[in-house]
Order: sequence, then C-alpha cells, then structure tokens
Amino acid sequence: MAAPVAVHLEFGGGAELLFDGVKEHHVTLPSQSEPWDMKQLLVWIQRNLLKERPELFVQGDTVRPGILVLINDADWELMVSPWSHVHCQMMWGGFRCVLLCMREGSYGRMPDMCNILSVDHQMISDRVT
Amino acid sequence: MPVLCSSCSEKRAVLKRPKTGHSLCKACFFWAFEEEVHRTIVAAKLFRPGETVGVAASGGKDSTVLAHVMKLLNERHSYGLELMLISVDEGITGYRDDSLETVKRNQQQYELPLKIVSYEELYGWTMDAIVKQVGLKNNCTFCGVFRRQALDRGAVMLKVDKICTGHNADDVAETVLMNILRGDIARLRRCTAISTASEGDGVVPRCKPLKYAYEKEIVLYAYFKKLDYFSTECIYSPNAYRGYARTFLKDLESIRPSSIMDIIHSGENLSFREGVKMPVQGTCSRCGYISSQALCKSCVLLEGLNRGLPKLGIGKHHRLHEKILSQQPLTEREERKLKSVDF
Ligand SMILES: [Zn+2]
Ligand SMILES: [Zn+2]
Ligand SMILES: [Zn+2]
Repeated sequence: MAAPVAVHLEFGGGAELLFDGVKEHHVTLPSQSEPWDMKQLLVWIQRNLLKERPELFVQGDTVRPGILVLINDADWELMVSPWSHVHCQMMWGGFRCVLLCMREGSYGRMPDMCNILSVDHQMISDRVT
Repeated sequence: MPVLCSSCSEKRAVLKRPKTGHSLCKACFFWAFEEEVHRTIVAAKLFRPGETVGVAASGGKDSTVLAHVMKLLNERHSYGLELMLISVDEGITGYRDDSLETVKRNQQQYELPLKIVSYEELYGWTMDAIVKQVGLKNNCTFCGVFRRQALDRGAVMLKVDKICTGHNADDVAETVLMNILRGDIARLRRCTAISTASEGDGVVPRCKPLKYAYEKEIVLYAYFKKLDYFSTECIYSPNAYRGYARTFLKDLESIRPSSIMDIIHSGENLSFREGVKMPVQGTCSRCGYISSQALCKSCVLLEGLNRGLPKLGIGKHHRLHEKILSQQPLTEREERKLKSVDF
C-alpha cells in the first residue's frame, strides 16, 4: 500500500483559466495499492480539479502539446523513463508539479478587444504579415 | 537520477532544449539563450550604435523576455543603443489595466523609459469613442485596422529609429504555414524576413530579435528568471484559423522538435518563379503607411469618423476614396449611404 502523497500543483501561463483561475493547489493524493505516477496524477487532476474543456488540457493520456510540465522545477522532458512512470513520491522534499501553458492564446478565455466591444465578433486580427 | 547539464557537467539540468536536444542547467541555459539572440542580432546586422530602439511592450511573455534580453545584451555587448519601451493603449475602459500595470513594473525593473501611446494621440479617437459613434456591429473593422498600424504610428510619433517586436520562432513558423495554406505569396515572401526595410518617412523599420527563439525556451526563460509578465491576454480563440495552425504546429513539435526551425528555413528558402505577380505596394498619400490604395484603410476609417460618415471604409467604397482625398463634396446619396449605421 502506497501512503497518501502531498503534491503542490501550480498552473500558469493561462492554464489556470481551466481551473477557475486558481494557480496554486496543495492537494493530497489518497493512498492506493500502486505508487502514484504522472499518468494517474493527470487523470486525478482531470477528475478533481479541472473545471472546463478537458480537450484543452489533455490529449490521449498525456498533456496537450503546448503545455510545459516541470517536476520539481525541471522540464519533464528530461526524465529518462516514459514520463508516465515518474513516481510522484520519489522526489525528496515533496513533489511539486508546474504546468505552464505556452501560448497565451490557447484558451480563448480572456476577451479580445473585439470581444469586449462587439457582439458579433470576427477574426480580423488573424492577418499578420 | 537527476540529469546533469551537458555543458558544464556540474549542475542539475533543468530543461531539454527543443532546438538542440541538449540538457542544460539554469546558468548554462540563460547564457545559451541570450548569446543566440545576440548572434541573431549580429548576423542580421539589426542595429547600429547610437540608434534609438523602441521595444514593443504588451506585458506578455514574449515582449517581457525581449525587453529583458535587449537591455542585458545592450550592456553586455555594448551595442550603444538607446532603448525605450513602447505600449499602445487602445482607450477601452478597463481593457489594458492589467497589461499596462505589468509594463509599468517592467519599466522599473529594467530601468527603461516607457512611452504609452494612446489611440487618442494616434488617431484622435479612443476605441470607446469609436464604439459610441459606430455602434457595436462594425467596430471590429476598426480594431483590426487600427491595431495593425498603432505601433508604426507610435514609433513615428516618438521618433525612434527602429522597433523590435517579440515574435518568436513558433509565431514565424505558424505564419509561414498559414500563408501557405492561404496561398498568400506576397505575405509568404515577407513573413520570414527578420526585419522590414525602411520604406520612406511613414514607416519605421521593424525587426524580430527572437525570430529563432522557441516559445518553450521563452516561457522557461521567463519562468526561471522569475520575470514579471501578464499571461492571460488572449487574442485568438482555438477555433479560429490561426488556432488550428497553432495546434497543428504544436502537434508536429511534440513529434519532432526541429519542425519549427524546419518550417522557418523552408519559408526562408522558397524561391518564386520569375514573373509571379506581386501586389504593388504603394504608400498612403496622407500618412505614408504601406497601402495598395491612395489612402490607407485607417485613414479612410478616420476620415469617415471625422466627417460623421462612419460607414466609410467598412463596406466597399473604394471609388469614393479619390473623391475624399481631393476634398470633393459627396452627393447626398453617397452621404446617406455612409451615414446609416445598424446597431
Ligand atoms: Zn551547466
Ligand atoms: Zn474586432
Ligand atoms: Zn494613411
């Protein structure tokens, strides 16, 4: 039996908008028979914290491309094993996971200037030279 | 189990660089990132000593990293530039509050002069005032057109020699893709250029020092340096055309990180068959901005606003431009056509 795991989660770069705008979450993962890994953590986040539009957060069993994951302040892409096997409690001094959305545009939540002003908005700003 | 930095082999690596696959520690990453921007600046001869350079500042991550790195490189490599932050305030109650607050903090953090140019100064109209006159349905034309020109007009007003913007490698690759999908040859040819040539008095040259910097590295640079940026301003909804291009690009990147660089290189190396017709780029006879018509779109819109004919420039009224330009009176029918506004 794995003991409960305390996890410090942080969402940033706009990803917090999918979590009611709350950036920091201190959560405890319940004890279960197997050790907690990142893949399970992601499912847990989706079930317990995610407030809307899961398609903007997950893709398959990993995060959507465009979201950076830092585990104890290091890029998860450095992890040698498949990241799903990164065990949440193996890090000393607690487990801190930061999920940063790279593109501020990805969530379509904060109003564009046009959205504030206009009811029937069209994408004019799409044209960039 | 921690991965060691492949550069100094001493400290713990904090990221895997998408461009090179190297694992670097914080200090080695900062150095590599900054010196790459420096090499981009030197290779493309972006600046000359003594120039006044405006850094377009929105408070977002790209422009915040740009301001930070420009300030740092200007000192480290003695560029001899006079740097200045330039922000645009559209004049919509509440809209810019957070991002302008961020830019004001950046100004203090980086000790750079900040100029906020307002639509009021640039156009004589705030967006709020425009909405009052035009109604809600039509203002989208105004914000698109005015926004595109605001920085250029601001730069002319502030008499800077150059502007630099925070466009990064992902932005450029995305624009290449979009222009291919749209078959927009003229834009495709222009969009990979690192700087625009100066085209007369009305336009200040623009450049993109972060053109080869990956978005991932920009975000991590800002994160590890604890730069103060504003992250929720969002312009594109995921369902808009650009949103799809962006998602496609991110999917490609997750399979092969070099694809972003590959797309930029493809764009840079495209050659066009001789005789391919390009739209003739003239300049606006009133403000000097690039325009294919005698009057640029924003001058037409402004003329309409100032004359109380808000529909001018919204529909297709090109044949009226000449008349307006030469200050000829409009017929009653023409006036009526341009006056009616549907709310
Ligand atoms: Zn190192
Ligand atoms: Zn609009
Ligand atoms: Zn003009």
